[in-house]
Amino acid sequence: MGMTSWWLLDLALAGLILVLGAISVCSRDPQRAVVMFIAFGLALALAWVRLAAPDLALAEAAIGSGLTGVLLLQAIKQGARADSTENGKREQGAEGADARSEDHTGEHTRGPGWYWLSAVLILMFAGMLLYAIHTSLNQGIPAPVDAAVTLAEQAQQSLSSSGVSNPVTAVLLNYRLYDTLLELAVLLAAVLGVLALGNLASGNMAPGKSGVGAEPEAMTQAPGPLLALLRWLVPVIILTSGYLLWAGAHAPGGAFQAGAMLAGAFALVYLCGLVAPGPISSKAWRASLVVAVAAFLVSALISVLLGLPMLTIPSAFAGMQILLMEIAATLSVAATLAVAVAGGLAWSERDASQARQGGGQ
Amino acid sequence: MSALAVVGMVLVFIGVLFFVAGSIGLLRFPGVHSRLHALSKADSVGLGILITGVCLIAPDWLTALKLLAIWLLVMAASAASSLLIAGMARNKGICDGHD
Repeated sequence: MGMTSWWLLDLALAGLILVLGAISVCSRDPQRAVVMFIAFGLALALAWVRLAAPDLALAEAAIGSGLTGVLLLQAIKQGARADSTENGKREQGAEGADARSEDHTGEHTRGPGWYWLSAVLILMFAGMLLYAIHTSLNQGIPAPVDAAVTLAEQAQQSLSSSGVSNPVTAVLLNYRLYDTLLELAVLLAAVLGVLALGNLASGNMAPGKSGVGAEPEAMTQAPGPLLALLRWLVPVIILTSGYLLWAGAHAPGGAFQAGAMLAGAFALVYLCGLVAPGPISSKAWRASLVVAVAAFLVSALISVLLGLPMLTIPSAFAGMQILLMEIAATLSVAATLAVAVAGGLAWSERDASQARQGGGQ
Repeated sequence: MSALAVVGMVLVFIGVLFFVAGSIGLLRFPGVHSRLHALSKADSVGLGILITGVCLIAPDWLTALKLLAIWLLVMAASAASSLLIAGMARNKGICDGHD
């Protein structure tokens, strides 16, 4: 038993990831594809653990596998309902969940030209990426292995003045604050898209009152043992989220993982009909969505007012400032993912009621 | 200390046997309910024995406590999800053992 015995586990893990990924991509049954995708994410999280990247493992398990899985399952549910109402017995599984959800735009038939166009666009994009990598390598940027070593050393060297002792958090919230600001802005833009597409835009986020007053199935069917489980599991999840937020300063964790845990707790109680989170137009939801970007912009303003380069953090207050930004980012990440989950459900419940009215199935 | 480690190893092995049996049952048993039966045995009993074994090998008490917490969480989640799947199968009428 030693380092030598790990290669067997690593080999099995790598093979498992490849097989799960292949099944997920090749499966003609969307539900199987999504379930395999979730399993794929969990195996990938284990792989990150083996690669000594626990921060990434946490993010992959919580966001990449867990919440994305919930969103994809909802998309399938919605696609199946759209099929049963609008198209009768359409050929199952010919398209993925994405194509199915796009059916709502009323575009039901796509000729082969559409797929050729997609293929050409994807190939062009891949070519652009290859060109970018090629040129950047030719311009004297060191090879990836050397770069990784050098960057890791640099991150360690400045760690004492960064305000935190976890180098990953130091990179995310101090050295490369600009990138994280842009990531949070992308999240904000994405949730605006969700709000524009779902019927949340009409100001309704309570599942029981989504447009047509239909009670969601989950609310009426959530059995007693599940509710009993949630009653003590959800506080544990919230506690874990707070721990991850706090631990991010010195150990694996941080705002994204903590926010995903919070959103997971929200998804559980929301899907079981235990909470009615109120209209998305309320000040609390809107403030939660934008508070991260706001906090980062305030940080930028402070650095400019102090005469520093923008988005640099003076090391005297770095710890406190990073903690505040992490709290804001946790709130925004959680709210964004929660709105995505609730938005999908509210939308699909509307389709369910249409299915019942249209006498589908 | 070494004897403890050996006992731990044996318990891990027994736990793994439960998981193998559960996996075979999941693949080979007819019907949703008997498959769930096989799977939840592996989850609760198998993981319990396995974690007891790992606890004996664990370097300190804190690690052992964490492992026990994991076992409790998995048992609770497994019980609830088995119940959900079984209930859903009954509601959809696919529990007759011929699927």
